[in-house]
Amino acid sequence: MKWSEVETFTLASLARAIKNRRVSPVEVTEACLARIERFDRSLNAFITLTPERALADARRAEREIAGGDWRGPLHGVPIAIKDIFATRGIRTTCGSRVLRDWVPEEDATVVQRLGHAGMVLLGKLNMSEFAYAGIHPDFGPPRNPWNLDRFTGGSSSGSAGAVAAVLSFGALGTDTGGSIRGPAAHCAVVGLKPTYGLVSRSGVTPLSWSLDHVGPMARTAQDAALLLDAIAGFDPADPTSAHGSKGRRKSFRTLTHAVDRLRVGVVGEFLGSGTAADVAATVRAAVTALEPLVATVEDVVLPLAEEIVPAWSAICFAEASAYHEPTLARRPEDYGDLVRERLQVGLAVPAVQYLQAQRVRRMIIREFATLFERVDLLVLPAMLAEAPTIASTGASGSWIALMERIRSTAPFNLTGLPAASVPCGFTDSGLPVGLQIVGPHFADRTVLAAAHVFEQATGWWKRRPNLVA
Amino acid sequence: MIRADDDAALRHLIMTMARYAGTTIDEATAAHLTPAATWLLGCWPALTRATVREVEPMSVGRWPEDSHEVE
Repeated sequence: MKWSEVETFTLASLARAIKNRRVSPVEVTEACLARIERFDRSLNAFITLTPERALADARRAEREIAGGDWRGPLHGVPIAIKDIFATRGIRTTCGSRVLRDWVPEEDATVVQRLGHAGMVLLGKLNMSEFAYAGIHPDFGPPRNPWNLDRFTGGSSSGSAGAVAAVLSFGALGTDTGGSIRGPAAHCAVVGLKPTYGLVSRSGVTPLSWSLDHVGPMARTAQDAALLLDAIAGFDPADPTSAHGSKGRRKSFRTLTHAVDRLRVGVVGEFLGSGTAADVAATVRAAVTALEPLVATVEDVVLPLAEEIVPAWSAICFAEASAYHEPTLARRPEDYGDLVRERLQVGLAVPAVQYLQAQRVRRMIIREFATLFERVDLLVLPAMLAEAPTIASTGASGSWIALMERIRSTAPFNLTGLPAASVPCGFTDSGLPVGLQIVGPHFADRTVLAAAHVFEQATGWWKRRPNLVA
Repeated sequence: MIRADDDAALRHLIMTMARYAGTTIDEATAAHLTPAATWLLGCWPALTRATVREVEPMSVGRWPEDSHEVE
């Protein structure tokens, strides 16, 4: 297989081809590695490549499948992982000098699960330092495949870039305030922040433990659903993991056939002056395209909207500073400027403010539950502006601007609701826009089913960037 | 309402809190961080509408269709 043939496959179609032995895991892995060799010099999506491991995984998958032991749709499929997930024997930096040489002794639970599903691990992906702010200069900025002068968005930066450039058929990301959905939107891939507790965070370095989520990123909603199926489920190693087995679930196909019965609420406040005009116009067009695919569409208002960013900020800053406090005291110079500044500011958050934020959070969760009695899904822009330039991303003090950027994503970290970004068009300058689809707790696959129906009707997902070697 | 002399107090607070946390922040750095701290602390009044009686664990329930307690 040539490197250029890789992008003719989605994860789902590759899985079928591998199962039917039309494509060998070894040949597709070699093609992905060739593609990475060709394009990652300019994209900088990877921090650590693991070609020997990838080829060993691929050879094992090939032997097993040839012997009639097909494990499932991820068997023999090349995948890459954000460098925040512990990987046994492979350094895990979190994009920081602080962990530059850390080699974990255990895999994170989700890495174990992907391993059991038979994935081929290509390597570890670039990210914002500790998933918090800025790209540490030791690792350099990941560049957006759609325009190399633009950032991919953060913090799951390399995850989005690698999937958009089809260096990998899927990736894992984490999302505390929009870190899966933002990069997914900016790079025209699908990213899901699942329901809080659905996917284990054991072995994942925390940013803010009550806001952090682990989720899949892929070219299509169906691909993301396949990844989600592999990683979701109760994990006794994660005290916040939701109970429940994986039995008796409806098939993804069944869920997609039920999308035409769903009631959709459009969050109109994100389609006005606070959103870039071309992003708002693109999302309005997406809503028009969605309308004939669902039962009803009505305007809705986000509950307690004025409290959301204040609550998110107090919680995120306090929890992040609490987690990093011992290291910040010993090695402040090893953090990048932006992260160090945020951690220092977080030390000054009063306990009362943090606790009030958690109390307000319960109110917000209840109000959203009431809203979801009226509608089945919410739609709104994933991001309120197109991908920023690389040059603008490292500016000191830009974290206050961040609070503006997360207005459309943070509500669903605060509430733990499942939310996905699906490609829905392009801005005037040719940069991708994402439609965010949100559901009630544990309706993750319904969210992806709606995203699937939308992407099949609109076809935006088929557009690929012109890559520069 | 934030007062004009709050900047100096906040700078002092940032340096003091950092010192108690085992790290050192000089005056210039504290001055650089003050707008951020002002913004963050300025969020506090928006959180006073809380009417729940206590902090509950962040739990959103079970995975309903898969729970062993669901038929």
